[in-house]
Amino acid sequence: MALVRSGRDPYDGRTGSVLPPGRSVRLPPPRISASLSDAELVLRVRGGDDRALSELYDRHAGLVFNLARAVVGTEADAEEVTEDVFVQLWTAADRFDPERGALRSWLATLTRSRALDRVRSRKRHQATLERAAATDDGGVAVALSEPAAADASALASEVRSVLDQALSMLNPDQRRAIELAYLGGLSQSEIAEHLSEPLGTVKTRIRDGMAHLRDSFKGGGGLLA
Amino acid sequence: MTDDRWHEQTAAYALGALDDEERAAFEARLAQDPELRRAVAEYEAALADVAADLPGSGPPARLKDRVMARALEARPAAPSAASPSRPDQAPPRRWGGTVSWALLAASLAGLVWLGLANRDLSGRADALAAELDSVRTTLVGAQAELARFDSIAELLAGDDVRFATLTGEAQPTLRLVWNAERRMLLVAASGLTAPAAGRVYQLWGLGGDQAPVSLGTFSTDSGGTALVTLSPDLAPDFELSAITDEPEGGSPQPTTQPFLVGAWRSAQE
Repeated sequence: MALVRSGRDPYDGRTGSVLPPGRSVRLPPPRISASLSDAELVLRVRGGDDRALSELYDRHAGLVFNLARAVVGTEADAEEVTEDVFVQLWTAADRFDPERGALRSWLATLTRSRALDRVRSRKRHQATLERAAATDDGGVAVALSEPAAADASALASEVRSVLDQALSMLNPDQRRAIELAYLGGLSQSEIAEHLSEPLGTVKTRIRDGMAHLRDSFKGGGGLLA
Repeated sequence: MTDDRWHEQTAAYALGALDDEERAAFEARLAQDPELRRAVAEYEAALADVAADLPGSGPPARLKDRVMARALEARPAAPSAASPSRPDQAPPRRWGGTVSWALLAASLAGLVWLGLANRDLSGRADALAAELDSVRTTLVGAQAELARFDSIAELLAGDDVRFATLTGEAQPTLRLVWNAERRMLLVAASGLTAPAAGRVYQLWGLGGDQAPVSLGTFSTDSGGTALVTLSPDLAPDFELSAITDEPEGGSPQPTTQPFLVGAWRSAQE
């Protein structure tokens, strides 16, 4: 029977079951129960329980990130939006009212809102840079932080294609108007202007299209063929 | 506006497609109208479902650390609710109810582990020699050479060395020596049947009303003997230790009844 040989070498009578010296037995933080509802987890978040935040992140970061990415177009910006959303969830959890809907809906709404803010500020930044470049006498080397055009447009077409499918129950006009609002953050007036359509027409398309969308998803969630 | 007009705007509001003025007016109305809030919630839920179908595999794994760090920096976790990083911070926690530690503690009161023959020895050298002796006794039958006990002697030397003997109803005993300074916890077992395939023995530290803390896992050879070192990166401030039978790799918390248990004491006791 082998014995402990030295302070450095572990006994290894049965492989894999003895920890080598230097390897600490540090327990991961106990996982909070995966069976707690989102609403219960938010209550704990309000109470300052970071395990609850961790669990909520595990549940919803995928949706938040993918949505952010669809709107902002780059992974880096999507990461920042995701960060903003979960930090806001942690610091302002009292803003979520479980009576007013599911946490997932709240997160999706907040994500889109933050993502659109970021797009708008990037556009303003871009416009500022372009103006600067236009008046530039060559002394300012302006590196426009434009995402690689090819990647951004590949993502955009992938998103459009998936969205077209998700909204396939709508007619093309309704789909177009809703996509412009959903991904582009355009208001009804802006959509009307963009499409050169009367405002009333756009309002009707959005109203009817959204009602149809809501009815399709009700009671199921996810795509209903 | 009539009710209908508000409801007509619901979908556009959920989409974020109202103009600024319209939105402000709608939000003012929303605050007073539960029906309207319900209608908005339905649209937001539908949009969340659309979002769930968007392409992508979610954020990179490393983002979570960044998010948690930034969140906790902005607002620290509450002390009583935070993840414990040290056993003494662990709040009392129920864990499965399959083991009643209270009962166990009560039954321990009757155990004679405190009455080890070495207790009445004065002088540390004698106590250490006696411990070494009892370890040797445990290993009797093994072809041990004295030189191989060097590391054990090293283990026994130290200012804060603790010993425990774990016993139970059946035959096997376990002797533990924990030298926290060297971060070595020696487990000497005899007569301990090897665990079943896919299972392992796990040593736990217990104290007060805290949840058990894993000190490591080990197994025994076919002869029922084990002499292993574990390296728990923890302070040796547990009252008791116990062994449970766990799935290979160990468990975060005990899932079976402990079958050996004993109390820790220092050489001076």
